[in-house]
Amino acid sequence: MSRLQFDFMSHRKIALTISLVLVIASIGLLLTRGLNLGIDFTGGNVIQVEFENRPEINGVRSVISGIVAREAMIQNFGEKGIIIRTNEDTEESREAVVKALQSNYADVKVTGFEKVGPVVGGELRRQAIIGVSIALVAILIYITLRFQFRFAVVSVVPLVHDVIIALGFFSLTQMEIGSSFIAAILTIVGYSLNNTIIILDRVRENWSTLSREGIVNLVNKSLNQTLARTINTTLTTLFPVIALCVWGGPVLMAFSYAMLVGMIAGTWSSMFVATGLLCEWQGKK
Amino acid sequence: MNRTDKLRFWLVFIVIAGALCYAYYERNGLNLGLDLKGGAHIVLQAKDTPENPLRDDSIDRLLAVLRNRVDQYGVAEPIIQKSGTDRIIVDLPGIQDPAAALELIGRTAQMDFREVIDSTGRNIPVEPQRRNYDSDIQFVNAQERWREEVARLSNASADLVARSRNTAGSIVAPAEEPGTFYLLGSVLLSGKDLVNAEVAPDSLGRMGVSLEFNSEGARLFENATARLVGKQLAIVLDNVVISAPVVQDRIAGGRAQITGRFTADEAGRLAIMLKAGALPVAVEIAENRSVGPSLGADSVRQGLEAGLFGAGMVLVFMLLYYQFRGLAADLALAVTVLLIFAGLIAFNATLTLPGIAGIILTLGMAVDGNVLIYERIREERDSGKTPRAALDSGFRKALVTILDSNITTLIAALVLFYFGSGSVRGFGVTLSVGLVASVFANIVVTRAILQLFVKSGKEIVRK
Repeated sequence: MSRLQFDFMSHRKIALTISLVLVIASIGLLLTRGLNLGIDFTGGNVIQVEFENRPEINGVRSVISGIVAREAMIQNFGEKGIIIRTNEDTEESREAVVKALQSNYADVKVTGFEKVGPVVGGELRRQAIIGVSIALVAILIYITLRFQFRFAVVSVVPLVHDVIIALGFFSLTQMEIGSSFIAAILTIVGYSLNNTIIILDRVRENWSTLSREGIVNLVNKSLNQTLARTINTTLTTLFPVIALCVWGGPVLMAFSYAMLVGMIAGTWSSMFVATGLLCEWQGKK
Repeated sequence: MNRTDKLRFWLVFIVIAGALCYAYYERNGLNLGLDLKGGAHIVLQAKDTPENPLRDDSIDRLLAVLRNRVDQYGVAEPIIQKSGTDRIIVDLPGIQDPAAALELIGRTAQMDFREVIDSTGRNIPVEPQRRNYDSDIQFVNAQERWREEVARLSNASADLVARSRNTAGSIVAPAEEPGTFYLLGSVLLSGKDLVNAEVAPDSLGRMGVSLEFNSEGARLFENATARLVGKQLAIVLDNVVISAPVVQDRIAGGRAQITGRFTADEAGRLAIMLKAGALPVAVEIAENRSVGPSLGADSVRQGLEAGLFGAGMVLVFMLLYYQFRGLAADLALAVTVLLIFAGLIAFNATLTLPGIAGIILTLGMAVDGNVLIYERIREERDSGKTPRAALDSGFRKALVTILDSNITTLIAALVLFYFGSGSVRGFGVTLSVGLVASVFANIVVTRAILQLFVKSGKEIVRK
């Protein structure tokens, strides 16, 4: 495998087009369908209950329909549990729902509840945006110092690409986004960057041959030299993420899938987007 | 083996032995987050109201009162701390009844004794039911009478509100049972003159709370009861009249008993709240997360399962692909996990569910360093170097890459730690600790193990 040489960069225009289409589709989804923001962001009540014999969701919906003014979101959770989410963030609203459940189902047990006020939700949104922006700027500065500004730009573009695609995936599936999603996004950023840096690091090492080989051959050589590493590390990181998706349980579900999509997008963007952009940019000169 | 190599061996040995001993002796020092062990996480927001404006010391007084209440309620290892300028975080691990805890800490518990000037007198009667009447006409008439009565009572309470505007210091407060409203005179005696409050059933066996006043309170109470013999004295808690007994006689000695519609638990909480004092300012519950112990245990189990499966796949893959060098990577991975746990204990970090996910992810990323090193050594070997030289230059060249890639990830992790809150912050800590631990394991531990292999004559590079 390591002795094979692939001509990745001759397909760079196709690869960049695919990425562009995915990003535009994701932005389109975000604008039209939006995200299913959890109460961490919007404020509201979440009640987790468990039943000996879990009733149908529609049954539960009719039991509480008169109590909460706005539409409640009801989901199965694990094997015996149900999660009820309402946008009403008062204690009274939560107590009323619990009372109604208890009077209709003898075997119901409240296993947990969450309430987030609107102020906290707004703060979290702001925190998320500030946090991700600061991380991106800090990373740009670090790479500019260690490499050069052009490398910094071509390694930050894929990050934005990965984050937008991960968000697009969540818009498409309408999986709920909680505060741990911010953690997932920043980890994706870290992981994707890790990949990009390792490839760019090799490009930098081969940089002295630029005038002889031209940028396309140089990038191709670097990609092939790091290919075994890229494949192996992608596999070893995907194993735990897949394990999290399968066995990690319902609480971690959204987090795990965000990681999965982000890592696939991250590997793709390091191999094709960062390098493709570098070829285009360098080729212009 | 040269001097640096010997030093490296000793470093690895000391770090592993130290981490093992530390993790063993401090194994109870690992804090589990509330999402794992169950409990309530409550964030209170202090509110600025005209009656109780926020002052510089309001939050500190609020903290003191809350500590007092929680201590008396008996929660093991509660965390009560200030957050920002006007918030307080209360973490109550392991409690079984989060709703009761919420009631205990969220209530102002401002108690006053006031004279009853007037009241709407009667409770709202029960709405007539058709089945209690013989004919439709009788039922319609009964409904009509009921509506008139409700209207009359609401007029009466509106009348009380109007009169309270003309009486200085008076308020209108509802009774605990809905329907009745009282017009109350100014405060005769307040909760701050209390020295003790205890649960005590009254002579009829109803649950109540017995009160004991200080000398000032005793004097005020005696004067008030002397003046109000034959009249009603209202006991008002958070602007709700919980009982309004008729004063039979002057009460001296500074003791009183309040009875209301309490259960034993409610009376117990009321006694705690009265003893700990009223909250100095009004509070609002900004955030409240409660996880039952069973849900937390499920999360731990699922996290462990996912971690074991994930780690298993990584270990097996490395062994299959890199053979005995994979073994070196697997050992380095074990060291990474050990160092992560020792590090979490040392930093007094809290392990949360996203934190567990962070550790699981770290497992996959930690072997990246080994992969980089091995692939680099292979390249060096391909270019014709001896095993020993390939090992050295492979490590040297891979080191730069490993540092660059990990430092950029560390930047993201530190941002999470600095800007995140709650479980996200926990994730940032585990990720940061994991990165540092894995870099150490990659470049120091792996190298030490590989040198042992080279020394024992093994060819560490496939041709």
